[in-house]
Formats: sequence, C-alpha cells, structure tokens
Amino acid sequence: MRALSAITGVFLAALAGAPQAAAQQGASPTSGLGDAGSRPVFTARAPLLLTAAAVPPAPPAAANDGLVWDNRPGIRYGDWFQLDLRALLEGNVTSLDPDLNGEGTVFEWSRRRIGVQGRVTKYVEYEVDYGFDDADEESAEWRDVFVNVRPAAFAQVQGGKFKIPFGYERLTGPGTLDFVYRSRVSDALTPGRSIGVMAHGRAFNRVFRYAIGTFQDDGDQPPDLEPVEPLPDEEPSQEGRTWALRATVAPLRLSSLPGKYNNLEIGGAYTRGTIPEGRNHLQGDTVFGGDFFDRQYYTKGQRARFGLEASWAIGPASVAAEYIVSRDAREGQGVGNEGQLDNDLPEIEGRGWYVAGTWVVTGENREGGVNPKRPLLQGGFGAIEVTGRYERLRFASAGSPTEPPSRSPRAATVAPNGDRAWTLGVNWYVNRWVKIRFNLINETLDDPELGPAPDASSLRTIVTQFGIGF
Amino acid sequence: MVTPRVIAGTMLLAALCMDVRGAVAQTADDLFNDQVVQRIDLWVHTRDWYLLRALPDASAYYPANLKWNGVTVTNVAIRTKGTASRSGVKPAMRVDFDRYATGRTFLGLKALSLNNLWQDASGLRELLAMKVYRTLGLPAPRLAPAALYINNQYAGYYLVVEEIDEPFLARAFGESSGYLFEYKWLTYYYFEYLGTDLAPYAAMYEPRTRETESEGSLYLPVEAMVRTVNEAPDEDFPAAVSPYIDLEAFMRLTAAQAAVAEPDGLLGSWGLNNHYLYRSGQRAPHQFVPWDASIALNAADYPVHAWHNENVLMRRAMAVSSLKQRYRDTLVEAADLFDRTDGEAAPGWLEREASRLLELIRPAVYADSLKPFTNDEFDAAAAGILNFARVRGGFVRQEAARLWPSPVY
Repeated sequence: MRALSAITGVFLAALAGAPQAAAQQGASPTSGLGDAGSRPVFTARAPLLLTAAAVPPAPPAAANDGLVWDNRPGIRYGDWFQLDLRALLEGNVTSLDPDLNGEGTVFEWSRRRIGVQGRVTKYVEYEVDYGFDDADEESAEWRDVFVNVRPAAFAQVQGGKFKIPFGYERLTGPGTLDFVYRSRVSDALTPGRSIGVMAHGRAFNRVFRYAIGTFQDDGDQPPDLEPVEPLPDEEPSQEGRTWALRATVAPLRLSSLPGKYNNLEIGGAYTRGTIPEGRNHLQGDTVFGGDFFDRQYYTKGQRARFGLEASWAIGPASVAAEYIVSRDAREGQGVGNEGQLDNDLPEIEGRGWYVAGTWVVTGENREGGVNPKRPLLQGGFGAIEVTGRYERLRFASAGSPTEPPSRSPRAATVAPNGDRAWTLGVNWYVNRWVKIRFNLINETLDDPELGPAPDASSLRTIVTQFGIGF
Repeated sequence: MVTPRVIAGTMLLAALCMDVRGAVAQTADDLFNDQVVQRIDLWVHTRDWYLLRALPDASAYYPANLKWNGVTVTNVAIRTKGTASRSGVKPAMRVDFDRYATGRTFLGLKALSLNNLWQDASGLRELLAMKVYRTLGLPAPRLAPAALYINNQYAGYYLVVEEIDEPFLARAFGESSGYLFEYKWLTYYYFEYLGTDLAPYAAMYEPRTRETESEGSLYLPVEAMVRTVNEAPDEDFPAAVSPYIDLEAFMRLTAAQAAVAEPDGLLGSWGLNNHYLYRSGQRAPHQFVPWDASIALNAADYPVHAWHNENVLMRRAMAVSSLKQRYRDTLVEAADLFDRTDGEAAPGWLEREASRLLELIRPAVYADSLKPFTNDEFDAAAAGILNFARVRGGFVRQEAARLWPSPVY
C-alpha cells in the first residue's frame, strides 16, 4: 500500500509539474529512460545514439551553460560537455486468472532506474544506469555502463556493458515499449546485456545500419548459468565469448515517400557463443508467471541465435514483427549407447515470432515515439493508443529425433512445449513523462501439464502499468 | 477403416505408452524368469554414474537407458536405494520407468529394483524366500538373478526385483485402486496402540498410492486397525479385527516367514519390519505384503514361534484356535513344500531349487569383483543354504507338532 501511495504521489507531482516543464520543451534531444522518442538502433540506450547519431546542434553555450532543464535535469558546458539525469519508475497492478495464489489484484514495482547519459565533445558519448527490474530488491544492478566513440557516423566503437545487438524489441528501451511486457520470444531468446566491445554505424543516409561485437558471455537473459561441478581431474566448464552481428536496411528511404512513411526497417541478426555444461538452455516463461519450458535438460557447446525483424511506423500507426530461432548444443550429454559413451544429443531449439500493431487514436505520429499534442492539464487529455500483438514461442528438440518425448534431463527428444499468446492494450500518454499502459494477455500452452496451471486451458493476465520517466 | 494414418497413429501411441525398441512379445514373466541369469544393461552418463556412486545417500535420480533381452527402454530414472545395503561401490538401485514420462510402463511395470546383495553372500536368500511365499500362494514380489552391465562393463551380480506398486497390486490382488503404504522402520514396534494422533502411523507407513489424500483418509483406518487389535475383547477378537485385517492371510504370511527363518519380517528381531500394507478401499481389511528377505534361510533351527508373544497382533491371534490352526497348517504346508520330491528321489524341492540356482549364478557371482565377499565366502554361504534347505522342513514339522499338536483346538 505504501508503494501504491508513493507512485501516486510521484504521478501527481509529475502532472502538476508538467505545465511548467512543458514551457521549456524545445528541439532538444529526445533521449531518455522513459522517453517516448526512442526506437532501437544498436545499443541498450537507443535514444541516445539516435539523437547523437543525428548530431544535433549544440545548445548555445552562453544560454545553456550550467544546470538546465531540458525535459530532464542536466548540465551543459558549451558544445563539449553534456550530462542528463535519467530516471524511470514503473509499477504494475496485476490480476491473474486462474488466481493460483489467491492473492487477487496485486501491485508490484516493475522498474526503478536512475542514471546519467551525455557526451564529451561530439565524439564521445556515455551512459550509466543503475536500477531494479523486478519487485525483488536484490535484483538491483548496474545495467548500462558504456562509452561510445564516434569519429564518424559509419564507424563507431562502443565498449562497456550494454545490450548485445540482437532483437528489435529487446533493443527497444523500456519506456518506449508498446506493451507492458516484451513478447515471449524476445523475453526468452534474446541475449540481453553483457560486457563487450562493438563496432557499429550507419551509412547511406541511414538506409543501412550495422553492428558487430564480441562479448564476454551470452548476456543476462536468462541469468544465472549454473555449470556443473567439475569431477576430480576435470577442467571446469566455462561460458565462452559471444559474437553478435546485426544489420538492417531501410529501403524506403531511397524512395520519394514523405519522411513519416519511409522508415520501414528490416533486418537480421545472429549470435554465437558457448554455454558451459549444465542445465543452461534457454527457457520459456509465461507472462502469467512460472515457466512452461523449464531449464531441466543438460546442454553444452554452442549457442546460436538467428533473428529476422521488421518495423514500420506509418503516421499514427505502426507494425512490427520478429522471428527468432535459438539452438543450444548438447555435446556429450547423452547417456550413451553401444557405439559411444556420453553421446551427443540433438540441440534444443527455441523458435518464435510475433506480429504487433499500434494505432494512435488521437492522431499523433508514431515515428520517434508518441508525444501528446495536448497533454493532460494543458488543454487536453493526452494521447490514446490502441495496441495488439499475437505471438508464438515453442521449445523442442532440433531435427527429427526418433525417441518419444521425455522430461529426462538427457532425453534425445525433450518434452516440447509452446506458448501462444495474444495481447490487447491501450496506452495513455498523459504527457511526455507519464504513461499508463493497460494490457489484457491471454496465453495458451501446448502442454498445460508442464506449465504453471496444469488444469487451466488458458492463462489470462490483466495488467495496468503506471510509468513515469524522464 | 484401417488407413495408413490410423496405423501410424496407433504405432506412435504405442511408442509413447511404452518407449521400447527392439524385440517384442516379452512379458514381465520373462524378465522375472529365474531359469536364467538376466542380463540387464544400463547406459548412464559417466558424470551421473560417478555422482551416483560418490553420493549414494543422496538418492538423487539420474537418467539412463535400460536394455534387456534385445529391448531398449530409453529415459528411465535410476537412484540408489536401501538402508543397510546402501553402497557407493556396488549400488542397489531403483529403476523408474514413469518418472520422466507420466504413465509410461515397461512390460507392464512402473519400476523395478536392482538389489545388490550387499548382505547376502549366497546371493540366494531373498530369491528363495520370495519364491516360497509365491509358491504358497501369498502375494509376494517376483525376482530373478541378474548380471548388471553399466555402460557395457560388468557391474556385478544383482537380483532384479518386482516393485510393490500398482502393477504388482493388480497382479496380486486383482485391482490397484486402494491405499498402499511402505513400512519405514523407526524403532522397535510390536503393534502397540499409539493413540488417536495419526502422526505416528503416518511416520511408520509412507503412502505409495493416493499420496495426495488427506491424512485422515489415509490413516484413520490404520489407527482404527491398531486400536482394535489392542482393545477388542478376547471373545470378539476375530470378528472385531477382521474388518481391519485379513487375519487368515496374516497367519499364512507369518507362518511362511517362520518357515524360511525370516528374522527381519513381520515378527522380526527388530520388531515389525520389511513389509507393505494394502487396503483396497476405505473400509476394506488391510493385507501385508513381504519385502526384503535378504537374511532369511540362515539358521536351520530358527524357532517357528519367535516373537509371538511380543507382537500384540500375533499374540492375540494365536489365542484364537482357528487362526492358530491356520498358522500351524501353513507351517506344515511350507515344510512339505521344502521336502516335496515330485516323484523323484531326494533331495526335496527347496534343496533342488537352491542347487539349481547356485549353479546358475555361480559364474556371475565369481566374476563380480565389487561384491563385499570373497568367492570362498560365497561358497560357504551357498553350502549353508543347501544345508538349510535339506533340514529345515523336518525341523519345522517337528516343532509344529511339538508346540501345537494337531488339531490345535
């Protein structure tokens, strides 16, 4: 209850401060943890690079030196130093059907983050974020900590901790997601953050973008790999480096279409890494809570991902789709047979896709994020957007193994399971800082016996998310 | 109409229900055929096999493939088992067929045990004792001698033992929908009443079916059984107790255990031990099923009335003439079985069976380098078994006649 009171207070403060702050809105960069202007490019903090890549004109030094309010608190010293304070606070009110725990409607913090980002001269950008992603207080961690050096738009180098460049939705900042939750396929099959170095850039007037990097591990999605304990005289099994490659093209930029229609972007990405011996394969979680494909099978060897993506903002509407396949090797994890001890097993394959669409009923453009023309308490009620998504994620053994499915941790044919979900939602952009998302999510599992509610034919989640960010 | 799709579907369904590859038309009777030493192969990941042996007390499950008689069963689960016989050198194991695939069976079995004979240098005691029980018509598990191979390496001489579970109940009692409990030895217990609190009964009897039912549903009949055994008036004892215990079956089983000189059974030196309890419904009488006879057939002069007075149920049952007669008759029936020549010259059935089995298992036992006995100790124990088989029938008959002259009422 105290948490609910706290977020209510913050919301009221944000609403009350909106008119004054709005008076300062200008043509400044639209980056931000909770900003509506970010779309994914190649980093964890896409908005930053988007604006940085555009190389906005530096604010007049004489007018803006020192502490400034530029949609968020910041410090400016001419065109050689910029620091912006960033924050994001989100809380969810959720109810589940079936209500397995008998808790009814519950409130939980979903994200609490604070950080800074900015640049030093026009060649060096930086970002540092710290925060929580769950209600669990222990999940607080340094999230994005990186420096990006950009001698030229087509040749930039980024180093530190940030998102491995894979997956359109994964690379979208939390404040600009169209739904409360990322799709199941993004949640399960994309790698998340790791420490590494990446070359990236764009060319041909943003028609082509690329990123290629190497990272110390496979990221924090899913977290907590658990290598097996080495046996006597056995070398410890360790996670290897991950390589990632992503490229997109925006073909309509070559056409004569107006700018707000020509931003169709299609692309693909690939990662390859090595996972240690253990029950470390990718797992499938429901939005509802609980998994439908648990990490119970032994894996070892290469993890590879392949993804395709497309996104297009067309005036007040947008569509996006992704298709991702992951494969986790199981080298030497079989129980053996007459021909071979500890034989290799077929890979565990995760395969999924989603199609999502949005439409801003109040007419604001989607490109660059929804920025309400008439915010609440400024002569309007904000912007309203309706959203919908259909998605599918399934895990199974790769290939066509001949054994019947089994839950044995060394089964050649794992017990497959999949999640099929649709989401209907409404987003209310109260002003540029405050956003309320309402989602109705219905999930159906291929094999409910392996899910969180074996007796339920479908799992329904109703969630309202209150978010404030700058 | 039988279409190819129907045929394919039927084959897939069959494969899902019984994931076996290789020869067909095998039955559980073939697996428990003691006319041969059954070769059983287990394929286990080398890491899992190391851990299973390094941590035998953990009872952790590990996946394996089992091969028997040309049939391969994939994705079975194995774990260590036993108390005194628990070993990391030569582990006794339970093999579950349905742990990783709900409802799966092999030859109609949900599970089986691989006994390591850690306490039996002869390798025959349980095999012969259970065979005696079954021959007398008592519900008892089937066993067969087995040569176990792990990853194609000989792992020793074992017994493959039928588990006491639903398939066993269906075979032994014709149905399996009731309440099955495994007795857990906690202390010396002689069937005394422990009060109305159900916890002590729950501690002794772990449910093996209907595990999710309430404590009252599981144990109120058990409490009522023990209370009635202790508190029923002498004159009403059979009538009062019969709704709770199949007394005839109890007398036959205890007599059979006495005949094979079982010191660790229902009337054992350590109190009640080594049995399962089954009732087919809430109001049905309980039945006792014997388990683990690894130290039977030892002392040829083991008393046939051992621990009668200490055990409340036995003491009171023996005070009933008809039940005492049943006990005595079963003793004599067992003794006659031991010495039955089947029209041949001596020796009797028990000695012939012991001799045959000893010759059958000797190569497997000799080759077993993991057994905690020497081959000389095996030979000495085998000689002891043969002697027991030779003289036990006469001793039992003599003692029965001395203690309870016929008729006993």
